[in-house]
Amino acid sequence: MILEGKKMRDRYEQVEMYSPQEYIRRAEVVRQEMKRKGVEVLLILNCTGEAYDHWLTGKEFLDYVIVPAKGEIIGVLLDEIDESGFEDNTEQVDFGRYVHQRAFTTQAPGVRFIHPVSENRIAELIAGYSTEKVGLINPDYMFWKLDEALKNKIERLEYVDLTMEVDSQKTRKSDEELECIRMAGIAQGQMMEALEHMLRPGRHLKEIRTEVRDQIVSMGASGFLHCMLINLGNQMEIAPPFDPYSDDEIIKEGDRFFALYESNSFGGHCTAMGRVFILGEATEEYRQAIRFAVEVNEFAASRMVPGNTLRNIVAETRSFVTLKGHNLKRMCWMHGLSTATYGEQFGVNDISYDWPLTEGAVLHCHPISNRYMPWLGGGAWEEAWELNTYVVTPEGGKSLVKYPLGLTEIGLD
Amino acid sequence: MSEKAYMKGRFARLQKFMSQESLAGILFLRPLKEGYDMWLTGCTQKDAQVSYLDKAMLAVAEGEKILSISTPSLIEAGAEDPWLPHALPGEASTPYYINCTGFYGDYFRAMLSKNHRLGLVNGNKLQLRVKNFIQKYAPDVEFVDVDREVHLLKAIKTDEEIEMIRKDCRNLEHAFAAMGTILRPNVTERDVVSGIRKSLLERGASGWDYSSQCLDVKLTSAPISGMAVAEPLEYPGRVLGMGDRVNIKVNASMAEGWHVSLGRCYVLGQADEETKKCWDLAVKAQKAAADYLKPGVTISAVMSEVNENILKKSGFPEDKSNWIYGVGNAWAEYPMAVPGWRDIRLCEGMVLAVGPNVRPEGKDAYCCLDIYRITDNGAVRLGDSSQGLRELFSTVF
Repeated sequence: MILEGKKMRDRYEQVEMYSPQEYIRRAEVVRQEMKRKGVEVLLILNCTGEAYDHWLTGKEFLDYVIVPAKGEIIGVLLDEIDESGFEDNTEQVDFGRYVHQRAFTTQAPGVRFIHPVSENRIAELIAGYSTEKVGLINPDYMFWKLDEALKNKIERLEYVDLTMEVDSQKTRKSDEELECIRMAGIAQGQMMEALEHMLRPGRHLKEIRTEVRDQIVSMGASGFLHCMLINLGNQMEIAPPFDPYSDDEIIKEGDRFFALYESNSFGGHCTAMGRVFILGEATEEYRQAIRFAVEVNEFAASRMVPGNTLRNIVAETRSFVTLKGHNLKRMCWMHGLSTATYGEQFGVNDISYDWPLTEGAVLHCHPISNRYMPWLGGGAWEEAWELNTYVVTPEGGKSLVKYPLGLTEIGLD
Repeated sequence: MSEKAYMKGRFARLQKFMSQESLAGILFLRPLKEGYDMWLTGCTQKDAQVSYLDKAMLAVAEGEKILSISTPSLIEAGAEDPWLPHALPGEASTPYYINCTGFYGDYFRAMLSKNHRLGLVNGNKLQLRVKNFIQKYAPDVEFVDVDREVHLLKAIKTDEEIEMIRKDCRNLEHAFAAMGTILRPNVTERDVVSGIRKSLLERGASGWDYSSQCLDVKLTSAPISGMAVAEPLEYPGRVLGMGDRVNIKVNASMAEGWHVSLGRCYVLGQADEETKKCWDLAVKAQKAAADYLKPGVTISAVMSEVNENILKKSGFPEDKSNWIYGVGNAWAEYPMAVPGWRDIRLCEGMVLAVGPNVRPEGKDAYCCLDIYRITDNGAVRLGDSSQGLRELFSTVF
């Protein structure tokens, strides 16, 4: 990865790793789907939720993105305040009226920004591109007043939902995006390696957490970060409830840790990984428990083939786990990762639960099974899992993270 | 969190308002926007990503707690809790709210059965399907826009709240005390901003981990009296050097939950006369604004005073940016220097950030930014730190 010569986004926040050609590619992906559905203009609602704003314009935290079939893509700035007092100006942008947002120079060609003008003005803008069909992404997020304004401006208004078509393509990562994902995995992996040094008996957990966060930032991370170090306690006792912000404690020999990084590096694309560490030697029983957790993770990954659905993968994984005599936790344990936040379709229990997976889609994966602890009596158990990031291929999910899955035992000799 | 008088006071005022306006409740859409998420729940730590813009809060007339609606799921009357895309919201972290997994038809039907008036804050962010859903279970619902009244209700702070804001201001100032070790030759602006954010976090600031949205640091640097650098910069960004002027404005959510602001200017080495003069003017402009801040005065009048009698008289352009804004639980609150709010009469108990900009042509602006409380006797600065220009690594003293 070459950083020299790249531009800085927001002056110092992040390196802009995506080329103008990459932004053009993304716009083309969207426009192709628009063409297939015969729409001249697309309105992207809730565009910050899965980073459509950043993906198409290079800027985060927009209210809408408007994509005409031809012409400039329009990013509507996020409203910080009641905009009704301002002129409905869609030509000039004056960042002086905001407290938070500052002037932004996008590296995405063919993109401009406008203020969060009135619903009537947004509707007028959209009506300028189409007299009938308006494509929507995330139609559930249509605002009542915007809907009214569109209906007033476009007599034969027809909404065309393009969510599935575009989401399924957006999550198919390009080479540039994969490079940023791999780099984040490498940086986080190097952070994991450093834990061998950082996790020493007598140190304060809070201090190590701070160091981890600072190191990840120093390796290029920005924006949304999860840099969690969770103390799982002694391997012979049930781990305390999962709490990344638990009170400080002094770590000791025999402590276990879950290092969970859902973060990014140069370029800002999120990658997720989580590994278990133990300070000292693990028992064979505990090693086996984590081996099983890895086996479950890799089983789920093996089902990440084009055409399969997340619902199927969950069902098959649940069968695998249950027939082995364990439980699989009910939660969203697989979802996509976006260029600026950590969520994207496809996602378990989300709108894409039954969509066919597309080759090249990226998924983070952490099925949570359990580890029985019969020496504690009754049916005592604790959760057992690791977290990884995969790309969907015909041969199954391929790991995008170099640091291997599995338990790391930090020797104290 | 134990019971707090200021939270009880807020609910009491909100309940009184709902009673006066005959509202069955108030639905706050996009509550992150003006900090209603924290104001209504009493949370002091920011725990939601700004990308979760679809949350809502519901205050019910004569209700004891706020309902924090964490997803826009629509739950039909009689239906079970939905299967959420990610994870269930946890237990409430303060005694003032309960977590709700979505919009429940049962609740709206019950709430609006006798009184059909539902107040809306940020009503233009009401999703169409949520509106239709509410109307399905409360067909006679009347949506009432109560933006302005509720913003104003929130704008006037109690003594207890002001004391909390003061503490946050002081904590921010303590974090700034470390600038002498953060601002050094040969470090990048990025590293400097990381160092500042680290100090803020150590001082109890919160955010979505390391998001610029809550730990908002606006930094510019250039050689003293040199022109502002053109953006975008090339990786790794600008590297500080001796002889640089560094301008820093921070707007951060600190330990007590308030977004407080501070703006100062630093020079690595000795400042030249132009820099000293401009900074002195920035401080003077702020003080002039503060002297003018009294109950009954408008923000327009304050800005005119500074623009006409300080900035323009000294040969600088007037500052028409949003440089006076209310302090709250979000980046900025009403009232502020924007249309529709510039001309409301300020009241005792309002707390405002004040930071007019001195802009020499082509150069980075100078901005001395502090927080003031409006009292009957004039504005009182809530911070304490020196407003002088700081010369770092200067052996001349």
